[in-house]
Amino acid sequence: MKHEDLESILEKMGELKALFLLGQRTVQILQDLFAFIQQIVPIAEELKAAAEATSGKLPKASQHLEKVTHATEVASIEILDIVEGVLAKLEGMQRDLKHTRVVAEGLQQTAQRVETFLQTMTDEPWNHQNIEQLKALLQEHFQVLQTHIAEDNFQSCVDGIQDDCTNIMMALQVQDITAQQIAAVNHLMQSVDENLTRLLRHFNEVEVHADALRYRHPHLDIPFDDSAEYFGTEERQNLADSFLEEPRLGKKRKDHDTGRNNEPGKEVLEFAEKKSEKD
Amino acid sequence: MSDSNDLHDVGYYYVETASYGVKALQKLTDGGFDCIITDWNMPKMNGFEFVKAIKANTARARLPILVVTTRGLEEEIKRMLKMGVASSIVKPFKAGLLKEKLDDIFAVESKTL
Repeated sequence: MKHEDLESILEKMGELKALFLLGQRTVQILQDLFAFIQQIVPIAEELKAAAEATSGKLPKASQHLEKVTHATEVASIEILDIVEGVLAKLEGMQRDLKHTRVVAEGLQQTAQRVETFLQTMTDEPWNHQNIEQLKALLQEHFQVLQTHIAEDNFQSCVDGIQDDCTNIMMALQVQDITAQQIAAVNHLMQSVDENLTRLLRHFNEVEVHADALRYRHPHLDIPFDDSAEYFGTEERQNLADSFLEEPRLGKKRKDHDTGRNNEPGKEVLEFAEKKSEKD
Repeated sequence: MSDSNDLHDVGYYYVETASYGVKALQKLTDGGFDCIITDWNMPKMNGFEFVKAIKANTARARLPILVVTTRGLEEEIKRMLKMGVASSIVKPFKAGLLKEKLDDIFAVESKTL
């Protein structure tokens, strides 16, 4: 073996050593990278889950707020229309009151005339002419009274205002619905906050305050139906009644067809029968 | 509207109220009730649990139940019906409707007696 050959082998071995050294360093880097990925994967998964959950919840919260605005708008318009009607009725009553005053004055005058006539008659004997005169005066008095009775809209106006007040009370029940919608939004906000808090815990430098109590408020801490909606019409009630009656009537028909004794559901069937007769 | 004043207004004078389901169940143990009016959404015990508790007790299982709800959706009503609820009222409602529903319930009850 020549000297050059030995040098060449040593050179190759040096290269190999360098390669091993590089491999050793690369393995360390790869190990660190692997550990980092191992750490980051659950966070990324959590981030994905949180993003998915949040992306569903925020539009839902927005929908709830839209429903609140819509319900409030519908109820407000209803109440404004009713109040407008009440004001119109009150105006009518004011006119009636003025008319009543005029009528009262008229009645006073005719009564006065009857009284004056009767005073003049105290010392005079009654005859056919006097009686006819008195009759005419009384007729005049009753005519004035009759006009007043015919034009008396007071009772219908009072009845109307009473109905209007009931309708306003009904429209104000919107608060029950909007409170539930807002409670649902609060619940969604809390859940989004919890998701974000869970994520932020992975970053040590970020200070996190997870406290469910921050979402607890006396007026929002209520059981809610997140589908609660305000319609302000009887449509929903009619629909609910039809759902309630449908299976009952169906059961009745089925029992009738099979000739089975339907004693256990007697009250239910009678109820359905009564309702269908009424309808 | 479901407090005693509203019921007085429509001619039902003997009314007992309870702020939530468990309290109502306690009151029911005293007996002497002809009908139960309940909200479907209630704190601590919801309408479903409340109705279930009533129906589970043979002494009060036959008491007619009128449920007040904010939805009146098909699946909800069918669930109520399955549980033996007599009728339901969808919010918002007028006192007249409450009277109509109660009158209907009592008419059925008097027929079955």
